[in-house]
Amino acid sequence: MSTMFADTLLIVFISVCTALLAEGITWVLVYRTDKYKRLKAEVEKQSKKLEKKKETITESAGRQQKKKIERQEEKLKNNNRDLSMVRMKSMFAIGFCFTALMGMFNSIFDGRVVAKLPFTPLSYIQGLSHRNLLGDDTTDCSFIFLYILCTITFRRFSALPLHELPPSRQVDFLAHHLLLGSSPELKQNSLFSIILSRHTHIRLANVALLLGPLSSFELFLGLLGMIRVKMAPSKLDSAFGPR
Amino acid sequence: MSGGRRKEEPPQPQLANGALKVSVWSKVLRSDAAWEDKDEFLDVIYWFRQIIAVVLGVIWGVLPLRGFLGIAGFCLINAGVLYLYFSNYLQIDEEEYGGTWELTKEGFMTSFALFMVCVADSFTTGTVHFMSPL
Repeated sequence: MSTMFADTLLIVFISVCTALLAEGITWVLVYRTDKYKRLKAEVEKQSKKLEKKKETITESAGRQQKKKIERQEEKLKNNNRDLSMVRMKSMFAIGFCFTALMGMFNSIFDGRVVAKLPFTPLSYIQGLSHRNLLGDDTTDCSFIFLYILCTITFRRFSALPLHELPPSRQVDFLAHHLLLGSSPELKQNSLFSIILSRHTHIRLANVALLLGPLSSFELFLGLLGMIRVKMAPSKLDSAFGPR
Repeated sequence: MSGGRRKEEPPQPQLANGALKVSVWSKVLRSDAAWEDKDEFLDVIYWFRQIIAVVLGVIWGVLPLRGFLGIAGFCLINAGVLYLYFSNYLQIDEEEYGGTWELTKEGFMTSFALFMVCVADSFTTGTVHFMSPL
């Protein structure tokens, strides 16, 4: 039981370290490059300019003004896309690096109950929260579940020293502004707008943004975990044979 | 008697236009504070949510409050307290920030994850120290 407490603290510590490592890798590969700094400054400047222009525009504004705004929006969209491409490098590096780390941690904490939950998780989450644990007590918590929760929490905090927030509020606003238009109805019903969105890449981008702090890295890890769960035979089956 | 020297206030940092730069945290508890920078106000909402998550997570784990009642209770208290703060106490115009829903969403997922971590840790601690045999 006392090892459970130590395991809990250790997992919190590991998630803080891995979050800092991920930010460190991103800083080395992305944040300190001139291209990223230039693109980010450009995007922020353009978005503020666009916001001001849209606030002052009236219903009776001329076609020329509206065309000008559309051109600015297009320019902003392109810059934003370039910014995302620059960030993609670090995502791949982090993905590969952490796949190896996760394999190591999974084998260390395999079969160990690292915490007790005061509730029974939903059935489709139990696959994650009770992964590779003996017994039927669904309040037992496995490493991967606690690690994912800690990562969601600390990932955002770890970006603060670098004054970078993944994904930032401005990008959030930008995405709604550019991808969904300025219609107040669309703004109020984000889910509604996703369903109506005709372009898959826009839909995916909106899903990614709505997931908030669960950045692409965590999504990747989560998906990888799910795939491994589905494909790999359970260690319990190999130890005790199929039931 | 002239009395002691009046304690001199440290020089207040000034902006280029002469206005005083007021610390964010000094504005938090003032109901008449003006929030010119929207991001600043959203940051305050975000950090308040994290503080509530830690406090409730520890309390819920120590009590312990089991089941989904605990989770539902956290969601209600988290959303409710912040709503009362920005709507009744600060009386800000929610439309300036995208509506009540945007303000409610701000930092909610992160605070929920933090709450889950705190509740699992404090519940585990309670289980280890108070339920394990001596």
